[in-house]
Amino acid sequence: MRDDLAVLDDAELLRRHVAGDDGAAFGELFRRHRDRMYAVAIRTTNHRELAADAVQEAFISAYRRAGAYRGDAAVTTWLHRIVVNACLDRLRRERTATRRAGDLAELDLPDRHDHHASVESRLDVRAALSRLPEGQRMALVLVDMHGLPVAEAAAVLGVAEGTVKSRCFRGREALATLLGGPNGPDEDASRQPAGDSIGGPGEPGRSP
Amino acid sequence: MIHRHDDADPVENDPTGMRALLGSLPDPGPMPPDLVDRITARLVEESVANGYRVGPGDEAATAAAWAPPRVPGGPEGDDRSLPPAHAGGDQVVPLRRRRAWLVGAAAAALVVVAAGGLVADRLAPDGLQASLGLARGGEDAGVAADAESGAAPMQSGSGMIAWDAAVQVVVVASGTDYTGDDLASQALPLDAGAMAPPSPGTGLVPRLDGADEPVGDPQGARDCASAVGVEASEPVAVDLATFDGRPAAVLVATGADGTRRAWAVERSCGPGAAALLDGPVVVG
Repeated sequence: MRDDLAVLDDAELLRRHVAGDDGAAFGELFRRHRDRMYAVAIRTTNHRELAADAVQEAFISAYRRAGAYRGDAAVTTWLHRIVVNACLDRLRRERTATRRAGDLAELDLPDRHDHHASVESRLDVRAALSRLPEGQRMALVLVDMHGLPVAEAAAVLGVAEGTVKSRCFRGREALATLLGGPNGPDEDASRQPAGDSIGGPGEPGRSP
Repeated sequence: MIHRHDDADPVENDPTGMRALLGSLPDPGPMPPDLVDRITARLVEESVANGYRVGPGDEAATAAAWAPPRVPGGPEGDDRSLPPAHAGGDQVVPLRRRRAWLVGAAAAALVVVAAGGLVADRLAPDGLQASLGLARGGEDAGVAADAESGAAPMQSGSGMIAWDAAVQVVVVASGTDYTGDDLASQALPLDAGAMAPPSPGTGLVPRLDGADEPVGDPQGARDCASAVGVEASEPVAVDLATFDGRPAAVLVATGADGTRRAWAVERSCGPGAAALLDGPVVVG
């Protein structure tokens, strides 16, 4: 039976799931797409625990609400949309909780003109990305990091293709400014600090 | 460092080098095995909860039906095998048919226009937009604006999401975290009876996951309102927000005498299933 499921396309698997089977069809969808969905969650949240929680919520939501899939987009686009939304919801909740706790360290933005710290004070690329407005950040995550075509990224985000492109262009400019100041991107900008948090001081819940 | 671009340029055209930099970041790798197990267990629970009966000794078979195939020497080191989907035991009961959440329901009545992040700008001056302090164009105003204001930038998905005069429902997403202690006062801005409809062509902000949250759709919100006891004649404002930090929806219905009542419900609120978290409370 598993071999039979492996040859079915995503839409047919979802159709079988909605029609009612023993869960195997959705299991095949989960197997097929879990790594990609996990990757977009990591790239969106920049935090392993939040990404794990969000992608779990997303798959449960997809399982329960598969009947809402209208077939006007690819199943992967639909899944991406659910995962991205789950991630953004988690991030907003974390941000709200952090502000309520009065964690001023989370609210303070590092001074990128701190010449005393020079290289050490420069933001790595993930931390800089986390400081962009959500629309620009998501455009860069989906298009430049995750490799989605502009059309699919637009479908995931529910905006026009031109909007995605515009956000990509503006986001890249803002990111370049954050990373390099007047001298261009720092060659160490892609370094990754260790730990659960993948990025830098801009993450939810992490003290700088 | 400003790099001029033409919106007609292909997205691959990036003189800043940021696209290449972002693309060079290491891949996150596959979903960790413990997370695979965790999600698998939850999905099996869902299957069981939906009528798939697992007999004695079948639990392992059911769980394994979700597992990846044996990959000898594979990178994950996952050596779980995949048994047949039905391994004896109790008779399998097919899953109940899913509810088709609002597929096609009132679609023609929805006024949702993809507007690239713009919020509705034609609400009455004393309407929801002003009450919630929603600003225009904050999302793409750049990093500096965010740093200077100290305020959360306008997020895509904030603002008015949908308006349906036929069912007298307006749906917004204010970003408010409602609490049980403050629900009555926090819900003050939600007054469907006082809101002006958006003018034709005005940009509304589509909710990213509207298809998955019935209460985010006007007809779904009306169904939810009915489930908590709201009359069909009462206008309803719905705020897709959070309640005590968890995703929820706050409904405010306006009675014929002007009294407004608020409920906090789970996003799954729908016909016959109110999923009530709090309320009703009188707003004000």
